[in-house]
Amino acid sequence: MNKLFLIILSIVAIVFPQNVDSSFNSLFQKENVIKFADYLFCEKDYLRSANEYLRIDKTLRDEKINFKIALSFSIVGDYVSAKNIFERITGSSPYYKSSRLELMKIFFLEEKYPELREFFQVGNDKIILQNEPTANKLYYISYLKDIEEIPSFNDFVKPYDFSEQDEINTLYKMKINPPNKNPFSASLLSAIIPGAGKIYTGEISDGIFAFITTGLFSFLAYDNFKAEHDFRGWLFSSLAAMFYAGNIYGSYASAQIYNARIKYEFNLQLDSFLKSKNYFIPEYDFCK
Amino acid sequence: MKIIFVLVLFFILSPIYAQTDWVKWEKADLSYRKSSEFDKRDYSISGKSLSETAIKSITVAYWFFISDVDGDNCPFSPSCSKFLVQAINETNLPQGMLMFFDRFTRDLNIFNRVNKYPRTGAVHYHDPVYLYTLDEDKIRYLPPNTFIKSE
Amino acid sequence: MTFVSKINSTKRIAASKFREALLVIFMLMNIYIFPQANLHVQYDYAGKLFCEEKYFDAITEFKRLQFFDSLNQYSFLSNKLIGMSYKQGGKLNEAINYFSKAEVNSPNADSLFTVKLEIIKTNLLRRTIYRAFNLLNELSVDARFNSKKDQIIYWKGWAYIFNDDWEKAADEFDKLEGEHELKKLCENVSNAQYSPKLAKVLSYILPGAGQFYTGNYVSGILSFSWVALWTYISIEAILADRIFDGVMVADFLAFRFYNGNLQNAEKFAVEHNFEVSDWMLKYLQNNYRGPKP
Repeated sequence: MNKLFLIILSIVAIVFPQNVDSSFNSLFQKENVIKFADYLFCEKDYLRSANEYLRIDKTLRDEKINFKIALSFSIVGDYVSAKNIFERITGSSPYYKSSRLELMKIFFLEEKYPELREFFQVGNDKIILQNEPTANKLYYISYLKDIEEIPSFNDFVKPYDFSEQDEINTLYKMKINPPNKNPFSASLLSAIIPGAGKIYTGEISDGIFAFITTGLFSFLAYDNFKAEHDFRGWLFSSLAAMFYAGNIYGSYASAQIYNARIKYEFNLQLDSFLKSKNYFIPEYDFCK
Repeated sequence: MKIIFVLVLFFILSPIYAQTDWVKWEKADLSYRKSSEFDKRDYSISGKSLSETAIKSITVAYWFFISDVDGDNCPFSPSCSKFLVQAINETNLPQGMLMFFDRFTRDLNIFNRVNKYPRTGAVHYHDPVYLYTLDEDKIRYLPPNTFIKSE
Repeated sequence: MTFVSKINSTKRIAASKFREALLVIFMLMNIYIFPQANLHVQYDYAGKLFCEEKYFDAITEFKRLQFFDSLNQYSFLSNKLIGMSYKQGGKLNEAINYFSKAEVNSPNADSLFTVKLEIIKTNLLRRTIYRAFNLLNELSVDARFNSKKDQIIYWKGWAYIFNDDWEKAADEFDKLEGEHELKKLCENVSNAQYSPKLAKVLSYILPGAGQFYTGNYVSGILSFSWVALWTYISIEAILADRIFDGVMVADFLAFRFYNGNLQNAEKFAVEHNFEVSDWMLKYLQNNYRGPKP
């Protein structure tokens, strides 16, 4: 009996495929793990999907799986792990080009714009990248994000599609010539006419109230001096002076806030454009 | 402007269910208790400098005798007296006074607050000191018509 | 033994050994070729992770179970346990999502009731109390759960607790048999709390009275003094024919302090009530031993 059992067991062990898990559970065999991980990936459960793919031994994983793992890490924000795996995708793989583009995108998301440009211009993959429209688009648009000297408009707009030209045009113009307000002009205007500076920066009602308070207290001061109420006269004139000085100060600050708002809205527009284009990277067909 | 905002929100909110599992989480400590919405005033006087002590003492006296008694009248989130104290602490006495008078003028302007300041509650607006110190780097712009969980 | 019987016994031995061998092969085939039998192993594994409080991993394993469960044998259990895991992790929206999925394939009325209760409890934790009340009302008119009226009353009491309505909560617990511990606790909270409306009305009639009612004597005295002072000055001004001055003082000062007095009376009552209920909620969470959300 024992001999028979041992013979059968050995036949079974040779004929049937290797288990990934030491337990007898076939759900952890390589094919089943891949099926489950593919399902998780298409359900957008990226961290779980990546962890499932990683169960498979390194030597048994093909490049497509490695790419999907790195892509999952990139989406959930683990850029370090994503970069690690993308960098190890071999040159002969069909996913090599996409992996370089994804690496550029990660530079962008990490806000490392000079590094992105260096990667594009002088990195090991510069030949591949400079022939890729996506890479060119990311390279040029990175200039809108930091304060380096920006290329001329004709060079800048070349890599973009016809449908993207309008938006790029607008963003470029906003970057080199933002519609800012000058704080000095604002305070000067407010010194001449109280409240004028605030109207200049778009705070019309604030400007009117600044005019009213300064005017009202000045009038009260004048009125009280005329009626020889000297104490009240001095009280109201000092208040008028404080409101006047405060209005000049406030106009300067409000111009600064206006400029901060312009910058904020520019970044919002740029970011939503990039997100809507998925950073110019074409969609993958892993989940059809 | 609003369209851009909605677009941004849409792209952020789309994969909302799966997204909670994009970072591994552990067992949470859910509490039955609600968070307190009452912000208590800081009556302490730190004695850092003479002007700060003087101003803070006057402000505390004002709070005790007047402000605590006449109710919640300031529509802004750091209330005007707190704004004054913070402004003097962050810059200096004359500049703080200028900031206070500017704030008071804006307080008088009852029109159109909704479209200018972000909100921290049903009737309160967010108007912090760092926007007005004239130091551009400190300014963090927040758009109106959004809710801020106050400091 | 005769030759024939020897052959028979050998045959029998060989036959039994053959049967054993078949049995072994059959068992091995089951595990390798028919994964459906494997699912029970997977279910046990996932359940073990859940008991070890490794909720994120438990969800992964339950999802794996679901993916390979082509006959949907484990639908109800896996959805319910995924929901429980999310609930333990504080991801209440996902928890309710999966509990609702479990509702769809519950095998019997008892399991359905359990899952519906979990949804109610999760709604309480999420502070969507209105939804919890709606669900409880649906349960109380559902004929399938007539035997579970006591449980429904018990959880309705909890819903009132989370809604900060301790008096109604005490009334609910009173409907249960015997003197329930929670009834006493809720009554204590209700008695210790002040009525903000009463405070406001008192202060409406006599400035400072509401503050005295809530125990803030200093504030009450200050309120009364200011309102009295400015009212006196403004009336004196009006009587002395300085009407403009009088109206100005009345408006900017007397009225302002009066309003503040009303606001404060209500605020002190609400603050005090918050402290009392906060203490009780902490007590219930840490010390109460009965079923909790």
